[in-house]
Amino acid sequence: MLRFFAAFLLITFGVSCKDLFQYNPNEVRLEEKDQNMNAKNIQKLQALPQRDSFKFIVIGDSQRFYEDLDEFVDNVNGLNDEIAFVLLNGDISDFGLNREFIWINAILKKLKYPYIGVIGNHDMLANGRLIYNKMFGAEDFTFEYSGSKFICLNTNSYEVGHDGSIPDLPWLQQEVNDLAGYKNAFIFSHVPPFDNEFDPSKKNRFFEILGAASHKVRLSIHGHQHKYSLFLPKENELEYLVVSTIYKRNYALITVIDNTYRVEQKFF
Amino acid sequence: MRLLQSLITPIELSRNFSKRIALSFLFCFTSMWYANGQDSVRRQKHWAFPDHAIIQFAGGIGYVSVGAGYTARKEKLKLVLLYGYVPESIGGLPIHAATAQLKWMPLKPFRFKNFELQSLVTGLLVNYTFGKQYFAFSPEYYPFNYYGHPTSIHAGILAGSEIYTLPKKNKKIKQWGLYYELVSYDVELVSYFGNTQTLSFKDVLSLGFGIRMRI
Repeated sequence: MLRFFAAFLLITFGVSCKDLFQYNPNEVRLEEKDQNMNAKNIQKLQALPQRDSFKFIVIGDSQRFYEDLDEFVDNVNGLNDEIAFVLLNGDISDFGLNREFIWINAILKKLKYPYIGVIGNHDMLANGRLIYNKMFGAEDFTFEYSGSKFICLNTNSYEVGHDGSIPDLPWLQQEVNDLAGYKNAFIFSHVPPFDNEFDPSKKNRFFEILGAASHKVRLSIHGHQHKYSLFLPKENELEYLVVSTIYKRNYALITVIDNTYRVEQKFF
Repeated sequence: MRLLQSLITPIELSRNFSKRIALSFLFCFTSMWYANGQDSVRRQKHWAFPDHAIIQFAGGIGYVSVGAGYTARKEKLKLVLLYGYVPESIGGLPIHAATAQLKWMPLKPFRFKNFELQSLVTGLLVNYTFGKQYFAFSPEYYPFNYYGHPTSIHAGILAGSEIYTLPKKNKKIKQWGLYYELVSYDVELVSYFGNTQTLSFKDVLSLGFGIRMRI
C-alpha cells in the first residue's frame, strides 16, 4: 500500500515537474500543442462562413507584456462583433526564448478567434527564428478569407545585417502579381518600409511593388515603432498603418466591406 | 565597453573554436583527476585541483552537464564549473554551454545515521552558450548595444538541497552526494516580476538533479 502511495506521489511530482525541466534557455523545445499555430489557425479561419464584410484585429509587439496581452484577450473575447481573426504583427517575444513563446501562445490560445503570428526582430534573437518556425511556421506566407488575400513577410533586415535576404522582394512581387480572383489584399510585416531598420536598398522597390498593385492592395500593416500611425506616402496609392505595442493597450480594428476598408484604433 | 566587446566577439566568430574551448575545459579536469589517481604516494593536492566532480541532469544548464568544483570556508562555499550539452533530439539543435556556479550553504547540515542533509543551498550562476547566433553585445551592424542585453550570457539565481554520505578518507570517491536545485535566469525573473498576475513563479524555474562525488 505504502509502495503504491509512493509511486503515486512520484508520478504526480513527475507530471507537475514536466514544465520545470529546461535544458538551456536557448533550447528549441515545443510540444505538439505549441507547433504549427499559423497552419492550425488558418484552417479554423477557412472553416468560418464567407462574408462580404468582416473585421480583423491587428496587435503589435507583445514582447514581455504578458499581462496587457492577457487583458487584451479578455477584452476582445467580450466583443459582440464578428471578428474573423487576430494578427500579432511581430515581436512576439523579447529575448527570442523558447519559454517566452510558450507563455505568449498560452495566452493567445484563450482567444475565441483564430490568431496569426508574424515574425519580428526580437523573434530573431538567439534561436528565436527556429522557435518561430516551429511554433508558427514559415516567415513569408499568405492566407485568404472571403475574397481577401493576406500577405505576411519578414522585413527585419537588420537582424541579418542587411545581407539582402530580408525582405524577400521577388516572393512579394510574385504574391502581389497573383491577385486575380481577389477583391482586396493586405500586407503584414513587422518593420515598416519607412523605418531605419528596413534594408535601405530595398525600400524603394517595396513601395514600388505595392504602389503598382494599389488597385487591389488596400493597406500595408506594420509594427515595431510602438506608436500608432496611419500614413499615405503617395496620393492615389495605398495607406501604411503602424500598430502600437500591446503595452500601450490599444489595437487596430479593420473593417472590410466589399472592396473598401475602415481602420479604427481601439483602446482597452 | 568597446574594448570588452572587441575581446569577446572573436570568441563568438567561430563555433568550432568555442567547441574547442569547451572540450579543452573538460579535458583539463579529467586529465587532472587521472594524473592525481596515478600517484602511488598520497600527497598534498595541487591548489588548482578540484575537490569534487559533478554530473547533473537538466537545471537550465544542459541536458547532461559534467563539472568540477572547489569547496571553501568549512564547506560553506562552493565554486562549481560545468560543461553542459543538449543533444539535437532534445533541444532542437545541439547546444554547448559553460556554467559557473557559486553556492553558499548558510545552514548547518542535519545528521541522521550515515547521512547528512544540507537543507538549503543558495547561489548565483552564469551560463554562457557557445554559438555564433548568440552575442554578448549586439553585433556591429546594429547601433551600439541596440538590444541592451546579451543572448549568450545569462546570470541566474539558484536554490536547492543536498543529501550526502559521511566522508570516508581512504576511498577513491570519498563522499557521494545527491542534490536538486531550482534555477531562474535574469531574463526569466525580469519577465516574471513584470507580470506577476499572468505568470506564476513556477513558470520561471528550472529543476535539475545531480550527483556530486568528492575526490
